[in-house]
Amino acid sequence: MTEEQATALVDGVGAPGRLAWDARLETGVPTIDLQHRILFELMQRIPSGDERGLSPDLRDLLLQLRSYADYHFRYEEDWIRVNASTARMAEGHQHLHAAFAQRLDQLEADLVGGRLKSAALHDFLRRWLIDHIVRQDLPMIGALRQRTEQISASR
Amino acid sequence: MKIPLSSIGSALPGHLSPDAGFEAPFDMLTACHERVHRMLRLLDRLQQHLADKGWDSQAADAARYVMRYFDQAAPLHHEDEERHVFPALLAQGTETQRSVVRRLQADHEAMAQAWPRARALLLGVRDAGAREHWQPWDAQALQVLADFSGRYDEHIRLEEELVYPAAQTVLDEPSLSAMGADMQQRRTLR
Repeated sequence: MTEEQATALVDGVGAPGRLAWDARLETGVPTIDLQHRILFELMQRIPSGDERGLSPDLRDLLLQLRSYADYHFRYEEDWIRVNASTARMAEGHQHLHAAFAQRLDQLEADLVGGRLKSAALHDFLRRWLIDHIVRQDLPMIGALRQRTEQISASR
Repeated sequence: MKIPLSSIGSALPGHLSPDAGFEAPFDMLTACHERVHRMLRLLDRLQQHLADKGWDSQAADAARYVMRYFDQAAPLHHEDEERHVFPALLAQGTETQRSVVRRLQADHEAMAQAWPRARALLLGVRDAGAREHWQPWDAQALQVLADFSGRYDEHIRLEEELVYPAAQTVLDEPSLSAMGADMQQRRTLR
């Protein structure tokens, strides 16, 4: 996928309006795709309006999202570790996931402090997840799958 | 050998076991395993039937039932576990439980990868249309089916003996209710 195609996909799927899962985001690894779809569904439930503060419902949603993201990240990092030729690939990906968790901590604190609207949190989650799948997961997992299939075929 | 298709009605997607409801989600999951076993037995009988008698419409029906189950119901079952069972145990289980969950996750991946090859063979039976159009399965085809069905026994045993009991100890009552409601909703939406 070229940079232009990636940008078009990120902009297309992440365009304002109802967020919907798009088959072009599928990596071809069924469990990873299922987990991405579940993350999408959780994200769809985050309010995209002007609310400030952290309502009990939003707190609960963020807890679920954070916990499922953590579950998914561990699965994806393990998958990369098993299928990559070097540990560096999984470590690099792990750093990106950790940076997401830190940024989410910060946004959640801003929301609690009344310095942020829920729409900003929704936008961050939406952009981050789509961008991460398109620019990180798709190329890396696609290349690793291809490599694993070639190794299996040559046996 | 007659393939007893009349006995599999309750194994079809959307048909629920009379003994399990969504208010008891782990009973539902166990009932799904019963259906998996039934479908795999049907797959065995189908192979025997084709070897003994060749293709007929009964074989095509059996292939259709097996395909329908693994196309529709089996993915929903894996999704139930991916949403509710595995995350809870990976977050709160012991190291042994976590390691079993990781093995089960790998099984799901392998099952999903193995299914299209098995499905293509069943599709050939379903769509043969007439005995003369049926190409008997060779040793390679039988191996594909054996690889697919062979993935389930140990997987189901680990889930029922270790993972489900452990998950029920870490999920509280509201989580179990939410899990049952979600399982029901996803099946209703399809």
